[in-house]
Amino acid sequence: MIVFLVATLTFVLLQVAPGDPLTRASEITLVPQQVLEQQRRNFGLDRPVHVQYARYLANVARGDFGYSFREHRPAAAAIAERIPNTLLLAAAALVITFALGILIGALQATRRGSAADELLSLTSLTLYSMPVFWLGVMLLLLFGVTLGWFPAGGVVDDAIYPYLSPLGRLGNRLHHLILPAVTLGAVGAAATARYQRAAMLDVVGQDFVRTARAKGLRERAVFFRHALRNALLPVITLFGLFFPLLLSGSVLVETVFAWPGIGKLAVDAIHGRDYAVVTAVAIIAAIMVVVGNLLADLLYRLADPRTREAQ
Amino acid sequence: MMPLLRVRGLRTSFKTGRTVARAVDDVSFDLLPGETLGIVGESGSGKTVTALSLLRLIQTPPGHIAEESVVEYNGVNLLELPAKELRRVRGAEISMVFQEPTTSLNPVLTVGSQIAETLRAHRVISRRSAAARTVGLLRRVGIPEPEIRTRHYPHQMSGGMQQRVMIAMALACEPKILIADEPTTALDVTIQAQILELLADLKRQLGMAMLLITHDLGVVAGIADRVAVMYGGQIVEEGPTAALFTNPAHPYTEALLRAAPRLDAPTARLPVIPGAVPPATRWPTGCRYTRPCS
Amino acid sequence: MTRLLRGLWLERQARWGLVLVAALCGLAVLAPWIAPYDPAAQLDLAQGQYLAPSTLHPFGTDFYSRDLLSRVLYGARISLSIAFLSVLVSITVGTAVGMTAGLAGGAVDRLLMRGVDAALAVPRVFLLLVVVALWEGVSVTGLIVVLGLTSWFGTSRIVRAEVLSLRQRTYITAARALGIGPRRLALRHLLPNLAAPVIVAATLGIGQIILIEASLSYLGVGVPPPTPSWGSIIQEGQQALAVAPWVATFPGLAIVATVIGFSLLGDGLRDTLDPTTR
Repeated sequence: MIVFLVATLTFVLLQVAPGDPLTRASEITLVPQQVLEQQRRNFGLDRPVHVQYARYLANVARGDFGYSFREHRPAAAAIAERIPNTLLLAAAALVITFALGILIGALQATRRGSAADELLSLTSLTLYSMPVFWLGVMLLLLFGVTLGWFPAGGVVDDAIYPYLSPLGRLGNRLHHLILPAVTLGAVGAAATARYQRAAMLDVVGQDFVRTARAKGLRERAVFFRHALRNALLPVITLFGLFFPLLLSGSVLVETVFAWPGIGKLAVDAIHGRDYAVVTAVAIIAAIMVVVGNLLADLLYRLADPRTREAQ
Repeated sequence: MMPLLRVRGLRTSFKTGRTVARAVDDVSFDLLPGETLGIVGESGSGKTVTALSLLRLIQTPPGHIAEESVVEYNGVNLLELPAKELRRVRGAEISMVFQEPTTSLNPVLTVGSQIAETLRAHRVISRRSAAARTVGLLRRVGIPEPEIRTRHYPHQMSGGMQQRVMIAMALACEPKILIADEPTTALDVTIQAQILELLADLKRQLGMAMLLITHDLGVVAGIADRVAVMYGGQIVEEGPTAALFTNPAHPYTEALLRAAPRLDAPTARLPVIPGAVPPATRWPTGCRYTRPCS
Repeated sequence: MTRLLRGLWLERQARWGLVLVAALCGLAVLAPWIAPYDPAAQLDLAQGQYLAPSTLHPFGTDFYSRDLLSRVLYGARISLSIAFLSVLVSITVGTAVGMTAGLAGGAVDRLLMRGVDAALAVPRVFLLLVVVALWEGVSVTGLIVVLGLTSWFGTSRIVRAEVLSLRQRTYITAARALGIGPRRLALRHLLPNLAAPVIVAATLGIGQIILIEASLSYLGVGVPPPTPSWGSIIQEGQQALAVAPWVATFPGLAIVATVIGFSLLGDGLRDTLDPTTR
């Protein structure tokens, strides 16, 4: 449903924008007028709007997003190549967000009011107020440039990658993944920590925690199996909310670290007036968000037995 | 007979801001093996706090149990026990059943796993045997189809059934003492009777001592051997049930008994105890139950 | 008003927020007078490029030998004005939609809220990227409008919730019983009560918009050069990270300070104006 809306919206925007894709393209590479006219006819750009719309939808449904003049190949191909990179980055960032966020939030809850708690809250606030790309640049500055620990960008070192053993390859990949993943995940971690802390404080006062203690369980069991398990529930709802943020974030982070994913592709395409790719990315992004939301919903159902259907 | 539980001079207070509320103020009583002691009082009398203090389930801060207080179980002062030893007592020697079964059970774990958890915390027992014993326990507390029910979650059960689960959980390790804090208050009247009967049965079968906390005199009359009446954080009267009911010594006990509605002597207006319990932060000096004499 | 300020001053965090915001706004407004140089002036292309911070140039200079401090100050002007105006647009639209949904109820309400929910699911930077880029790079006014038009969703939800709860209040029913028409009702009775949550949402929204505008400028689709925007300065700075790290660092610090300020202020306002949400 949403995907359909997004596709339509993109189409509308494209139509409304001044000029048409070919005019733009011709500004980049000089193309004689006749060829332009020819191409226009080929792509049906001289047909009335509703016809174009119908063709557009039909094409999209088939996965044909049009031709990218910039890359001289179908837009779909460009996307297919880049998606795995973005997914990798997003997955890594999610892991960082939740692992870090949950741990820190739970920790803060157990040490409520202490200096550590205040400090962590302050750090969270600062991270939350930072533009993601600046965090990336600063991390790059500190770890990439000054300390030289991590590379400045890219997925792997193209020069040496082919010569590495499988383990070496994995290591190389991880090496390149760390900074961008941390950048993308840090802001989310700050938000998650805040939520988790509040949830833990809430749960700890509840009756069933007292019951668990009265049963003579070890404090660790009380903490993990009873308190944390329940405190995780509201945090899981965050999971679904994070997807659109991840996407926006990846546009920025991929640009900072020259990470060849669809975020960077989008930016490049926009600068290069590559409308086919832009359209394609928009639609793919919408699909990803929807899928993400479904996943989040599923996860929540798994976690909270009260939301499952009657047995 | 040696008392199973010896409580002397129990004082539990709570610090809120700058004021201190003395919820339990010098409470002493004995509990003999196999007997049922009923602790009766209205809300604010300190009975729940007393029960929680016995197992050190009070949140400290803001709560605080005075150093001179003694809670002796089998000769050992529970209040001075290191945490590890206390854990061995909780759930295995002394168990507790709480007032609100719905919120006292973990909503994300199955009922069976919560009972089995108690077993495995105190006994060396395999997962499978624990599961089997759990089913047995559920059957014993009168839950139909226990093999199916053991995999259910608390929200799938009625209040009465949840309370049975709590009882099963408390009895899993065959404790010597069961503390029941208003076990039936949150339940329907008809279920109340069932649960009380269940408790009486189990108590007899296991030879347990029971500390029953309630505000309901009717409950106590049916099941308790001895009764302690609490008011204002103190025990104002204590004695065998029958004697207390027929010959109350303290005016508060008298007033309570008079206030209880009776089927055999219906009145137009129930006698009311005038006045209110003074706040626990400012106990009056001298007798706390000063009331205009009728 | 004085009561409000006092309330804010007492809460430690809100105090910081107030101070930060006041200071930053002050700097932004006074920029033309306190900036040591013209932000666009290329002072000394021969020898003045990428000078490290010094007493002459507290923030250093950039590739074009422009004084960074001046650029950052003017950048404050730009970013803050854009943010304020966008937020104005967004709360206007948001309040209108929220009130309509809340008052109309039924199908209209459902439809509007479905739309809002869908819109909230869309990644904002992404959307803005596409929209802005398709227009060949917008003018600042266009940017303000677009930013405003994509940020009102949250406000509309808040307004709707408030309207729904206010509807139940007796003075509304009394007013209606007196025959006061819906428009008058909305304006004179509902609107003043909406002021508090809307102001809180607006304050917090300013911080968000500053971040988004900076992101867009960083990507090259925000404020057009040579007008200094914090985001675009950072982008320039990234090119010279090894040589002149200050170019990328200072504008970022400015952004962080600003957003923290508005966040703290917004939270403080919320606690002061509506203690029930503590």
